[in-house]
This record gives sequence, C-alpha cells and structure tokens, in this order.
Amino acid sequence: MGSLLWTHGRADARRNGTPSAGASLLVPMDNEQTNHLKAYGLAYDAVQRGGHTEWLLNYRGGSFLIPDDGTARRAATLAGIAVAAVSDADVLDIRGTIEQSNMDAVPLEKAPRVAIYSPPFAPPWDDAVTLALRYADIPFTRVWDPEVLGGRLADYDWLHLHHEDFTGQYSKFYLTYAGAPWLADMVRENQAAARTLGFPNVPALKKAVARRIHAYVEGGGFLFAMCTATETLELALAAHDVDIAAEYADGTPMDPDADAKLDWTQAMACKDAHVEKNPAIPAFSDIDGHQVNNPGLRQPLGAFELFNFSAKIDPVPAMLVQCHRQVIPDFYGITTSFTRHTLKSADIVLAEEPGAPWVKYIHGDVGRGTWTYLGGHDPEDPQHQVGSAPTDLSLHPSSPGYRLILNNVLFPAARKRELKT
Amino acid sequence: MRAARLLVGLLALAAAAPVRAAGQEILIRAMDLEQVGAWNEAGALYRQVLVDEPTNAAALLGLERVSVQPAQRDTVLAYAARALAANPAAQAAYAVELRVLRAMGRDSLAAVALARWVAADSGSSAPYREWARISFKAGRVQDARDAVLLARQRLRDRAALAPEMAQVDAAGGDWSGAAGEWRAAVAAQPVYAEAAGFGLRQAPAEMHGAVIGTLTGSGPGMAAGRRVAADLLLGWNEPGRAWTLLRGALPAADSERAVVLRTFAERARSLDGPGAQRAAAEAYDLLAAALAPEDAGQIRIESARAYAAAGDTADARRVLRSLSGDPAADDVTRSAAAAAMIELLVRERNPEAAERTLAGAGTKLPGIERERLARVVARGWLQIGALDRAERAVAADSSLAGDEVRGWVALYRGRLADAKRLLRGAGATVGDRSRAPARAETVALLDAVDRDTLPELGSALLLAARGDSLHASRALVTVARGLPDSGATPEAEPALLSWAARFAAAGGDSAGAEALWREVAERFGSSNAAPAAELALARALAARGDLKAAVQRLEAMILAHPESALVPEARRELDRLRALVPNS
Repeated sequence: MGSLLWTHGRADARRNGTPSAGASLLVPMDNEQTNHLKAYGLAYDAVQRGGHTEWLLNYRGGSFLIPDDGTARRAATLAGIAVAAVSDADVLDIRGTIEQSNMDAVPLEKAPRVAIYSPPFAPPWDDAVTLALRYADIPFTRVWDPEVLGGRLADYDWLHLHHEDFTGQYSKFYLTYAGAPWLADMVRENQAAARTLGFPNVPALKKAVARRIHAYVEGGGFLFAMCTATETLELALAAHDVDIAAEYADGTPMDPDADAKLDWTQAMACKDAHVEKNPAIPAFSDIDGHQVNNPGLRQPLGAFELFNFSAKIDPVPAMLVQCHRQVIPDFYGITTSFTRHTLKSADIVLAEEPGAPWVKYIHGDVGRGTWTYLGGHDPEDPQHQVGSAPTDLSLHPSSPGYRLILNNVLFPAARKRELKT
Repeated sequence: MRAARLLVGLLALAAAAPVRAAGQEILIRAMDLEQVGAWNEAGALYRQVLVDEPTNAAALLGLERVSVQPAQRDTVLAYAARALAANPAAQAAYAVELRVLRAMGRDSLAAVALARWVAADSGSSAPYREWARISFKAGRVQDARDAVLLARQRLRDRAALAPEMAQVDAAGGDWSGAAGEWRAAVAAQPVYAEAAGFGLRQAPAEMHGAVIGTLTGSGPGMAAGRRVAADLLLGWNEPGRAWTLLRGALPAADSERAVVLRTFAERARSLDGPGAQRAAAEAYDLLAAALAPEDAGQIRIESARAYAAAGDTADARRVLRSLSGDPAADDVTRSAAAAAMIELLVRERNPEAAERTLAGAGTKLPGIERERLARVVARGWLQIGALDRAERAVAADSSLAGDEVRGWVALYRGRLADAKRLLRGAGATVGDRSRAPARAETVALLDAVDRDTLPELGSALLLAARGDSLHASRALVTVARGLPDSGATPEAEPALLSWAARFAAAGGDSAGAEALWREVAERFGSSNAAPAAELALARALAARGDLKAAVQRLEAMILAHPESALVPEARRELDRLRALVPNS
C-alpha cells in the first residue's frame, strides 16, 4: 500500500519536476484525511472527467478510489487532500478486505447535475449546502419558483432545499423582524413571483412549488433538504386544501381546524403533525423536536449518532452515513430534528439522538426517487442567528456534519443497479 | 428575539403576581409543568387555582399560554368571563378575552369586548394598546394604527401609545414618523431610550438623515430626541456628531447627567477609531467634572487614555497633569496617573520626560510597577535610537523582560550573537505578549544571517525601530547585496531581502516591495524565505486587482513548497480568491 502522497509527491516533484502517475489514487476518508470536504470535490471531478471512480463504503471512513493522473494529483496537492498512490496489487488487497467485511465498492458513473433552490434576493443567513458545494468546488445551478413551475427540475439529478418556507410565511419572521429591509425584500420578491406566476398569494405559490418538487421526486429525482425546508415542505404538501398560513401572509386567518384537515397521504416523510398557530413564534409544527424559537418548548442540543447499515445489502443508507465520526454534535435550525411520532413507518432513520423523542437525519422513497432530510441549519454554527456571518469552511475542512451533506451530492452518481433499497 | 423576550417578560410578571398562599404551591407546580412542555397537566392546575381565585391573573395568563388547541380556547374565555364577573376592573382578564377572541377569528365579538373594556376603564390606554399589539402581531398594521389613533382621540393625548405607533410606522417604512414617535415616548418616559435606539437602529442607511433630523429638530422633547440620536450616531459610526449632539442635550440634574455621560463614554470607548475615542475622552472629562473629586480620579485617567488612543496626546497630558496636582487625589490614583503619563510620554517619543516622571513618582510606585515602567521608558529610548540610555534604564532589572530590552540593544549595535541569545531567552511569554512574534521573527532572521556581529544590519534595523521604514528597507538591501562577498549563508540574502520588502511595503513603496518579493521568489526559489515571499507577492497582486496572477502565484507556491508551514495559509487565500469561502 502506498503512503500518503504528501511524501511521494514531494519526492517525485524534486526528482522529475512533475509527479508520476500510478494505477489509482486512494483518497482515505478516515482520520488520515486532511480535508474531507474537498475530497468530495476531487471524487466528483474524477467522475466528471470520465475516469473509473469507486466509493469504498465503510472502508477507511468511506474512501474513494480514483484514477491516478497528473490532474488529480495537482488538485489534491493544491487543496490539501491526503491521497495515496496504490498499485493494482494494493487495489486487490483492498478488494479482499472489502469482500470479507461490512464494506462495498460502489462505482460512481455520472457526475450528478445539481440544482439548489434559492431565492434571487440574499437572505441574512447562510445555506450550508451552498457553502459545502462551493468549498468542495462542485458545480451547481440556482433555481427558484419560476424554474420549478416551468418544469426545469427535469434538467437536474439532485435538488437541494435549505431554509425555504413552503408554507409561504417568510419563515414566520414577518412579525419579529417587521421593518427589516431584508424582510421587506423577501416579501416583495415573493409577492412579485406569486403575481407573475398567477397565484393569489405567496402561500398558494409555495404549495404549487411543493407539489412540483414532490412530482420531481416521484419521477426519479433525488431530493435533499435541511432546516425549515424539510418541515414546511411536508406541511405544504399535507395542507394542499387547508389554510395553514397566518393572516399576514395571505390575508385570511389560519383555519382553526387545520390540524384535523391536513392530508398526510400527500406528504413524503411525516404524518399527524400539529401546526403552530401563533404567528409571532417562528416555529411551524411539532414535526420539529427542538422548537428553538418557541420559548418554553425549546430543547437543549445534544449529539446525534449515525446508524451502521450493511454496505452490501443497504448501499443507499450506507452511502448517506459515510463519515469519520459516528457521533456528531447537534446544531439548531428552525427545524432541528424530526419527532418520532410524526414520522411515517416507511421512513429510514439515518441518525438519531439515542433516548430522545426525535431523530436527526431521515431518508425514504417516493415513486422512483428518494428524499433525504437533515435537521438543523449549519453543522458548524450550532446556533446560527439571523445576520450571522456565513461559516468559513476552510476553518472546518473535516467537518463531519458537512460530510453528511456531501454524501448526498455524490450518492446520485452511484451506478443505478447498486441502489437496491 | 423580540418574541422570546416578550414571553419571558410575561412569565416574570406572572411569577411576581401576588397569589394566595393556598394556591401558590399549585401555581408554582403549574409553571414548572409548563416549562417542561406538559401543557395539559399545567392547564389543569391553572384551572384548579382559578376555581378558588377567579381573578388570579398569573393563573389566567398561564391558562391562556398553555391552551393552544382551538378547542381549549372556549374554556379560557369562560375563565376570563368569570374573572370579570368577580372584578369588572381586572385588566388581565380583559386582555386575555381580547387575545383569545382575535385568535379564534371572532373579530366582531372581540370588538364588543374591547368596547366593554374601554367602558370599564375609560381613562386608560391599556385596551387600545392591547388591541394595537394584537393587530400588529397579526400583520394588520392599519388596524394597529387605527387603534392608536382612536386612543389619542378619545384620551385627548396626542402622544398616547407612542412606542406602539413607532413600531407601526417602522413596519410601514416610515422611519421619520417612527423617530418622531420614539422622541415623544422617551421625552415622556426616559426608560424607553434603549428601546428607541434598538427600534431605530435598523433603519436603512438612506433613512438615517431623516431619522436624525426628526429626533434633533426643535420643539418638545428635543433633548430626549437628541440623546437617542447621539446613541444612533455612535452605532452608525459618526461619533463626533454624536458627541456634539449629546453635549447639547444633557440632563440638568447631576445624577442623571452622570448616568447619560457614563453610558455614552463607555459605549464610545468600546468602538474602534480615533473619532470614537475622542468622543469617549471628552465624555469622561465632563463626567469627571460632574462627580465628587474623590470619585473623579479614575474617570480622568480613563479620559486621558482615551485621548491618547485618539492620538491627542496634548489633551491626555493636560488631564493627567491636572490629576497629579489635585489635592483630592489619593496615592493610588496618583500612581495610576503617573503610570499613564509615562506611557503617554513614551508614545509621544519623549523618553527623557518619561524618565523624569518615573523618577519623580519614586517610591510611591510598587517595585514591580516601577520596573515595568522602566522598561517602557527603555523602549522609548530605543524608539529614538538612544541605545545607551535604554540600557541604563534597565540596568537594575535582572529579569528576562530586562534581558529582552538588552537583546534589542545588542541587535541594534550589531552584536548579533548576543542579541539572539537574549531575545531567544525572553521566549514567548515575557512582557507584553504582542511583542513575542517580533522576537521570534528576529531570531529567525539572525539564524539565517548566522553572523556574530554585523553592525550594518543593526543600523538598518534601528532605522526601522525609529519608524523610518523606507530607509531601513534600502539599508537592508545594501546589507543583503554585500553579503555574498563576506561569506554569508545562502539563506541570508533572501531573508534580508524579504525583510526589506516588508519594510518597503510598510513605508508605502508597494512597487518596491513587490519587486523584492518577486526577486526572493524567483532568484531564491528553494530558500526558506521563498514561500513567504510568494504568499506576500500573491497578496500584493490580489490587492491591486490582478487576481489571475495572484492565483497562479499561490498555486505555484503550494505545488513547489507543499511542506511549508505557510501552505495552509496559502490554500485559504486561494479559496478566498476563487470565492470558494465567504470573504470574511
């Protein structure tokens, strides 16, 4: 087995001027790795360049095997990614280890086309997925309501949602941040979009967008959502014929019997939730277990634990939990977690806080596609506030929480036949 | 978050409300259950209290809080009605009734309840305030405005509910109107000053002028408005204007004036920039005049320090001199004043006077403080190149901190081996830690030069110590160019040229600095100094907008020196230039 390229690369460079190429490069993802997040970008780039790339599930933290060429070596050195040159014989040894353990080698065949659902205005909070993709140098396209309703989601393999409020209530910041210029922008842009696209108000627009997203998943798309987008997407789908928006959002009060009228058969992950009826509390329902903005109900942060899945039998959930840490400190979002009693029985729990009435990370199928929800806003800023500076990932290159996001980006690249679950 | 504060406020109010001894224990249990989210159980206990004490406001408010299901609201209404039957003046019950009816969407019944409350308490603004707040929370801004206007008309008070109207105006983008309302509110009740500042601070930049204009215009409440304006201007980085406004709007009473001045001075002192420091200094100065002499000493010292931080050493000296001649000042205050004066004189590059002051303070200063100030004086001598005087100033100081001073003296005299030994001995923790990096860098330079003596290098570095960066840079280049003939190590020339580049940049010669860094990076590419030169060059290129060349430099540096300690910094810079991380 080759040693880490730092040593190799320097010796090669000094002898020959350029690094020499071997059979493959192993990108370890255990504690030997010096920049886990950029390693995903290296793997993505290898797939995009058409080289034979494999994701070695559960092998040294979920390592990658990529073709050894000058481009990959240069990129690894520039980004500070630890890689090791491995010969064909080394690869055979690795395969032997994988064969005898709870591990698997999943070929990555097609670099997924990534879309991030994001408004054209700049809200005063960061978006963990945008930060992660940008830092890993993985290309993506921004889409918003006009693109979604215009059928453009079909152009993408992977869609990400983050802090969006699909109930159309502006994250319920309307009252607490009344008068703030960024909120005025948000209201104006959303109302303009609703008018342009022919909807009577913003909640109606967002419900239509939610239904399109549901159809996208049903048709084979991969959806990954974090923070408020998870819970509000579920609520918007369940509330297709019910007014769950506060009066300030659509001009009419919320239906007092909304809870009883919600149609959970239309939702993807949740059931039997109760909506938060106070328009001044930035919380949406009891889907979220932590209620960070709900005084009296707010729960303290703990840590969540990733499940161990069988790499050979359940490669999809196994891919989604590849990490060099089994236990990860929790982090708040308006939706931090998912209460167990509001989960559908078919949901796969990927991570939970043991003993708590909530879970952190869930996954499931709808039609030919899949959805994955991760609670919380920013894994490296556990109490991200409105107006806080965005997280600088160069200070957290091995963030285990951000790794979970990037697992989701690469998972659609896996060869379809491997997606058994 | 405002909502959170509101709820905490309600709980505090509830806890403070008087309760009968019999019901108190049940009430406390109910609140505990509420805190842990057992709302149904808490509701049952609140109801239990209300059966015996129908007008218990804490229990009624608690029942309202935990009754979030629509089906429970009728129950709350029933208890509110019972409370009103027992006491038609129970304000909390009226408020609960209003909120519940509005939450149920029964607007017409809510209007009747409002009328009933107004009739029961016709001279009070409370019913209108509650109605306005409920409307505002529901996003019905016009309803909230109407409620305030109705209150003003009926109560014949044009300033009634000014804080509520200010929020309504701000929500509608009328920041000038909001400023006028807050001015009236603070004039009536100064306790609103902080809320006014908080509410108006969020005004967009283009509205700042209108807000300040409204707050400071002549008419009733002008002084209150100006105090709010001063607070805002401090936050909006206009400290000079803020102080001018505040000085003209100080309360007449000494005690109130002292509070206003202290608050302003402390806030300004915590801000960066000479303007804020000067405003702080003047406010402290005035505050000292408002205090009893025995309380004013420390305030004057703070004033002097703020003047010095603002670069106004003349005023700083004036304040300190007045203190040293003040018969009311005690020994501790005088010693502190003497120390501040010595630091000030050194800052003014007048070590002679600093030394005299130190000698004058004599035994009044504790021994350790006297030694520390002697080193301050010694550094003052170093700043002007008086090496003998610096050495004499610490002659009696055998500490490692004293060795540090002797190390610099040796360096500037060109006794490099002695300098290296003394500076290295001082380590990283002696004296002011902010000087430790400079010591480490100097020791690294001396390692690279590897000579026991080199007077030309000492002279060149002394120029830099005296603040003459450009001449220091040129002198270092001369030393560097002359080295190969005198048999120096291969690391010496690039190290000296790197230092010369740094001094050139500090002296404003960015082109000269760039040329020197380029020379180190290209002519001495395998030297220890090369990675730092590449990094500095890339930063210089980026600073003048040539991002492409900067990125190329950084990439070249990382690929050529992958094991340099500077590589993580270069990678971070590369990420920043490529916009892969936020530009923070």
